[in-house]
Amino acid sequence: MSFRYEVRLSGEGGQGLVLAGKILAEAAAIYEGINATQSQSYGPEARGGASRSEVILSDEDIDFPKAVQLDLLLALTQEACDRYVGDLKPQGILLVDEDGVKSSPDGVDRIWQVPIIRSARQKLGRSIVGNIVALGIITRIAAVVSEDAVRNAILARVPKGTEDINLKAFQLGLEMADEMPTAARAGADQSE
Amino acid sequence: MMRYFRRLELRAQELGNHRRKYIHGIERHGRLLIDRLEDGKRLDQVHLRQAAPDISTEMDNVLAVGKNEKERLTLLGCYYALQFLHMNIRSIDILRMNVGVSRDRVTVYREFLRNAGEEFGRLIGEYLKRLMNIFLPLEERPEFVACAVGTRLHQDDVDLGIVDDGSEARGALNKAIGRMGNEMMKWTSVPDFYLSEHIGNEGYSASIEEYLQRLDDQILDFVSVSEILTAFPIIGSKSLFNRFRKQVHSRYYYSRRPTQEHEGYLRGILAELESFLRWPRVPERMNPKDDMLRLVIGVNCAYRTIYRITEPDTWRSLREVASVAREHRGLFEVLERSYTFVETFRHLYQQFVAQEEEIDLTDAGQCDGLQHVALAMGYENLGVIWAWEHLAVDYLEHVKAGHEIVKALTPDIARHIRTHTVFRSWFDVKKVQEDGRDKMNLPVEFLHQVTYFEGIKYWDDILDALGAPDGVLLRRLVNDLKILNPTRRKDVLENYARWGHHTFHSLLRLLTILGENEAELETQEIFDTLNEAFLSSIEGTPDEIRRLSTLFVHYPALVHQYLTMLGDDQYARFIDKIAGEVWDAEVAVWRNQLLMLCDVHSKASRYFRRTIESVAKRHPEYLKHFSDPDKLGQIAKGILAEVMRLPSPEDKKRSLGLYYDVEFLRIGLSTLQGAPVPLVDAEFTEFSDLFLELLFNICKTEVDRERGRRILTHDHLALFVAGGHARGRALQDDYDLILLLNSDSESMYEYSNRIATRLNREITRRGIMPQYRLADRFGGYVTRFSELRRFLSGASPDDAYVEMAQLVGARLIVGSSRLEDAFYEKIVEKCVYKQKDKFVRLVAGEIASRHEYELQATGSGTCDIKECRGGLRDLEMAMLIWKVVYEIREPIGGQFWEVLAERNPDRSEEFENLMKSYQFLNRLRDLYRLSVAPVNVLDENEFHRPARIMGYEERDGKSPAERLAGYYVKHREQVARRLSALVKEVAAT
Repeated sequence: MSFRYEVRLSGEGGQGLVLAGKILAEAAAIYEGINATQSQSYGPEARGGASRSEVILSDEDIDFPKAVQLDLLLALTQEACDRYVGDLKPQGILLVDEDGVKSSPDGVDRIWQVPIIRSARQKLGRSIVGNIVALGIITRIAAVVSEDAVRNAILARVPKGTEDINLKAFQLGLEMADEMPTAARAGADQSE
Repeated sequence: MMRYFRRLELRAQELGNHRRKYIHGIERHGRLLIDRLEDGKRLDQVHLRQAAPDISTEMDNVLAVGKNEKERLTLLGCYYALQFLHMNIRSIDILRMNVGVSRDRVTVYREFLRNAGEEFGRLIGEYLKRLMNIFLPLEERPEFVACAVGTRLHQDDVDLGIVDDGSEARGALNKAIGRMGNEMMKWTSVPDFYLSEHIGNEGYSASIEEYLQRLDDQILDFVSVSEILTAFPIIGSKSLFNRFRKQVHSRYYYSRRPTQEHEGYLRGILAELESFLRWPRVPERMNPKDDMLRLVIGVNCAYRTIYRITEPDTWRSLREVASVAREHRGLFEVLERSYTFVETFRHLYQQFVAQEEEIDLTDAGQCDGLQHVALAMGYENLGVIWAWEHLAVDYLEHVKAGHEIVKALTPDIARHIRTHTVFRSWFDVKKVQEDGRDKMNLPVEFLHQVTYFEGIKYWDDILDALGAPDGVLLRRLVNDLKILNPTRRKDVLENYARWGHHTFHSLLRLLTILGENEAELETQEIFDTLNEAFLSSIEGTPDEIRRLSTLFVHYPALVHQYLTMLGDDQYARFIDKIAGEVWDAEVAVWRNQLLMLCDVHSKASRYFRRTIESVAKRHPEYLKHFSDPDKLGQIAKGILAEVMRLPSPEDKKRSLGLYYDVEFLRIGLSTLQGAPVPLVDAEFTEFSDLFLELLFNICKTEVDRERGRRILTHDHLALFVAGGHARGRALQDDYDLILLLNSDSESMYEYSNRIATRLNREITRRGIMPQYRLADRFGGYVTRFSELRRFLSGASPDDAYVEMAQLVGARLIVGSSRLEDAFYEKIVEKCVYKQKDKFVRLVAGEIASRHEYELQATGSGTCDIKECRGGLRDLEMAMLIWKVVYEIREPIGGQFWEVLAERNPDRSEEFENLMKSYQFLNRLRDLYRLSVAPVNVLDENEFHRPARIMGYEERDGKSPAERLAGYYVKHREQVARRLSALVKEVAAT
């Protein structure tokens, strides 16, 4: 059976979401043989502002490049969450940063609230690698692309000299996903 | 990696991590490529270990040996990867060779970039052509053209814009492009179909009709438009591309008939340029795109459309623009050189370190990478200075030069917009009447027109016209708004707030223009309605906070002006809107600066705002440092250093005035932030003494110049301060001055008076009143030493109580120590201390009579913090008594209590308690002045601000203000009790 998996990474400029999208797409295309497209927003905002990166993964040709039925939405800010949550599939996963998104939207069954940026800052000393932590969580919960593929893609994208910290960040993300108790799925619990 | 490609792998190791993608493909499929080429007897016709001279033919050879489509795609991708690495290594080798021998590095860089761009364009173009041939045979294709857009040199992604004929066959085309994109994801730089995403509805491509339909509805954002204007066909129909240019491109170029597209594009670019120009650089980061490249491309594109230059290549079009915009020729030439430098830097950074824009100079790994960049650009280590550090300095120089040039080029773009805007007839009253536009409702019509320009941020031309001194357009706008019924008016103003949500700068300008003209045009209701709509439209999202914070950093004067127009409730709402969490540490700093400004506005009295205004008017950028008094202190020191350096007295006085205001501001802010009284007093006294001393010297120099000779006054003329300033008290609004001349010469007297006159004028400019305490008695600003001695030696304290009190408390500011000693010995000791019993009794009597008078007058005491029973005057008089009793030379002030305690250890507890009350009352007085009003009669109903600053909280059902009022009464009563005892003690002795 064919599949099409749509991911949107959203937040603010400077959070490395475009890079994370590229890594995910290249991991799938280069190391897993999965078809992938990646697109990003870069509007007239000079700097900062809302940022969005989309990745579509499929075992078939991708002839429609826009993500419209999201399987997974990462929202690092409340604004991004509010703006994009409507594009989530009925059973889609909403992964939000616990500190950036204070108010979980109604009507979403699968919400994961995780302290992504805080963990990057506290455990690795650099909030800038929060994007890679998020990528680790996404890799584990989406289970579309293998960990090794993502590791290889990370190594091919990050600046020389920063490989170690980025791999640690990815590992942290994987572990955070493993450690997330069912209770972390606050949305699902609340909705019940 | 197989041995065959070992050399390539070793050479590629100096490239950034992006090489891994290409190496990975070669490792996996290189063997297959060699085998197939050998089998097909074409190995000798394909360059696998060097850069190929003829990519096109070699790619055909590679394709010819693949056994099936999948294999052909793999072989082609592998060949691309090989050539990509060879191409980059070769171009860096050539650069290294050339920078070593050429004197003009920029010429070498230009050549390097031109070749790199052409080679990369050729490589990717040939690759894409072959992919398209594989995925969509010629006979199945609709008419289409795939264009490279953006800067073709950039290898971090491949920007593509695809135009089709809109026929049914576009389905197959899109499928092919999708597959092409997937192959690119595996083998090349990541593809980006941004344009088609924004235009097309069904996939990667869009037809000309779809472009036009989109353009009829709304202006495209200028990033998309710039991409359209740089489009260059790489695959497909040239004739379709020409039609696209004719029908779509042409809308953005200037024509005699103004077009909304051209105007909207320029407005978008201008807003972006202004934003970049105002963006403060972060010293520990480099970002070539944001620091420089976007600016150059933006200004170039704007001039291209104004002068109708269709050349898409940035270097060539910069040259063409330079040749037609002759008045700016030199600027464009320099800009091109800086652009070349920064592009080279970025290109090499992306080759050696990472395909990212932001460079963190605090990261050792990235600095190592920069060293590679620097060496490739021809820099060398010099002594202890690394090559990359030289490079970073040159980079900053080029960025600085680029900014200056773009700054000089933007006014012409603004002028062009003003001259050709579709709104231009509005500015011409005559034309408005001729067109019958005087019958239209201006604000409603603007909203109608502006729909097309949604998201556009540059409206300065219209706002300038609204804010023009003649007020014609503003009057028209206000009158037209007033004509509308209240519901409609509210509706229109809410729409303005919606429009302004895209451009807070424009909305705040409109609000401040309305606010400024409140009295003349009665705009209060309009201002309030619009402001309410604005505040309601802000939800406090991180993006809004970021935009408002950056607006403050870019336009501190505007935000400050807006804040001055708000009431207490509106401050609270505005603060609430911007108080949420922000991500970016840089933005958090700016937001906190803005919060601090809001906080100061919400706390500051009109009296203190006068100082804020005075500083903000001349240096609005200082408003950003309200949260950092140390920074203001540094600025003040810098201004002071400049005062010493400036040659002209006028300039010196101007700078000295600014120094005073900045220091006053700094200390006022510290006070509002809770600094303790002794610190505030000490710092205030230090700077104001210095101010007086320097001002005196400048005035003296001016008088000397007028008279044509310098007169030495050191031992002859002394400037003393008396009163609060002499006691080292901060935030005084008058200076009690005594100018004492130790000479009977008439000419010296006249000379000294001239200095005093100038001194007074300058002091008054700072909003301080100079008071000459002996002037009434002696009839002039200057008092002769001899006449003062004569007067005091024959006078009893009964006759000269006021003068004696002033003299005992006086403190020297200008003059020699000999003069000070003479003053102390001959005036204070001989004339006052000699009769100290009488003097002390007089002072004690004065305290008692004031207590009695006050009790008789009100029965319960008033709230005059200075004159009331137990108030500051009581404490000052008590200090005066002890000063005279113990003949203490140190001036009265905060530290005087400690001196007293040393002299009289038995009463140290009493002195300590009095000191506490003295500090409490002074702190309350200072805060009341800064946060309510500069008066001594304190209204307890206004205590909420001082109470908040002093840290009182609600307790036992009492509000902070009530608790403060309670302490106020308590301290006064304690002081009054102790002073009554003192009065009795004096009477008894």
